[in-house]
Amino acid sequence: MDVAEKHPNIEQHLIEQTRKKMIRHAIEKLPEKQRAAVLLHKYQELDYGEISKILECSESALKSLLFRAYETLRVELAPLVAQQAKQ
Amino acid sequence: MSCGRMEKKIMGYVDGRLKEGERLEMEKHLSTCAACRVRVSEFRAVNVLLDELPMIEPSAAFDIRMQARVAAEPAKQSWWAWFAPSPRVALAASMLLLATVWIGSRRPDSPLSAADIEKINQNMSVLENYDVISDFCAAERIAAAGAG
Repeated sequence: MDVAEKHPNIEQHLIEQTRKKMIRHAIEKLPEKQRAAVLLHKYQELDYGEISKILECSESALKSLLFRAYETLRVELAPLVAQQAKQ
Repeated sequence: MSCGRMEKKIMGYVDGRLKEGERLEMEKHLSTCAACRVRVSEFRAVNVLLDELPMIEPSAAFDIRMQARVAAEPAKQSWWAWFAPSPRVALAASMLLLATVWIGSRRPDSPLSAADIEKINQNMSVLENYDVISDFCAAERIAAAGAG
C-alpha cells in the first residue's frame, strides 16, 4: 500500500496547495498599485469610488489598473485559467 | 463598442456592476467579437481563482503607508462648518458670560451709600482737621497754663 492509497486526499491537498501558491505568487508579482487595486476590489469588496479615493486616482484610471492586473493574472495563471474556463 | 472601449467596461461586466444600457452594449459587442468573449471568459476564470484564496490582508508596509496617507489628509470642512459650535469656544463664551454677570452683580467694597458719601464731602473741611481736633484737649491746656 503506497502513501496515496493510505491517504487518498493527500494528492488533492498538495494540488490545492500548489494552486494557491501559484495564485498568491501571481498577485505578489503585480506592480504595487495594481496589487492594491485587486486586493481592495476583490477581498475588501470596496466599490470603485472608494478604491479610487484610497489610491488617489480617477475611477477611469482605476478601471484601467484593474484591467491590466487581470490581463497579467490571466497570462501568469494561464494553465489554471484554461482549466477553469473549461469547467 | 470597440475592443478598446471594452477595457474600461470589462471589469464592471465581469462583476455585474454595469448599468443595464452598458451591459446590453457590451453583450452586443461580445456577440460579434470572439477575442473579447475569450477575454471575458478568462477574466471570470481569474475571478474564480482569486476566490480560492482566503482573504488576503494588505502587507504591513502597505497598511502603514495607507494610514499615513489618511492621517495626512486635511479634514475637509464646508463653509457652514464655521458656524458649528466648537466645544472650546462654547466653554470660553459661557465662562466670559458668567464672569460678566458675577462682576455686574457684585456689591461695591464700600458699605457707604451715595447719601453718606455726599455728607462726607460736605463735611470734608472738618474731617481734614480731624487729627488736630481729636488731639485737642482744652482742659489739660488750661491746667497746664495755670500751673505755669
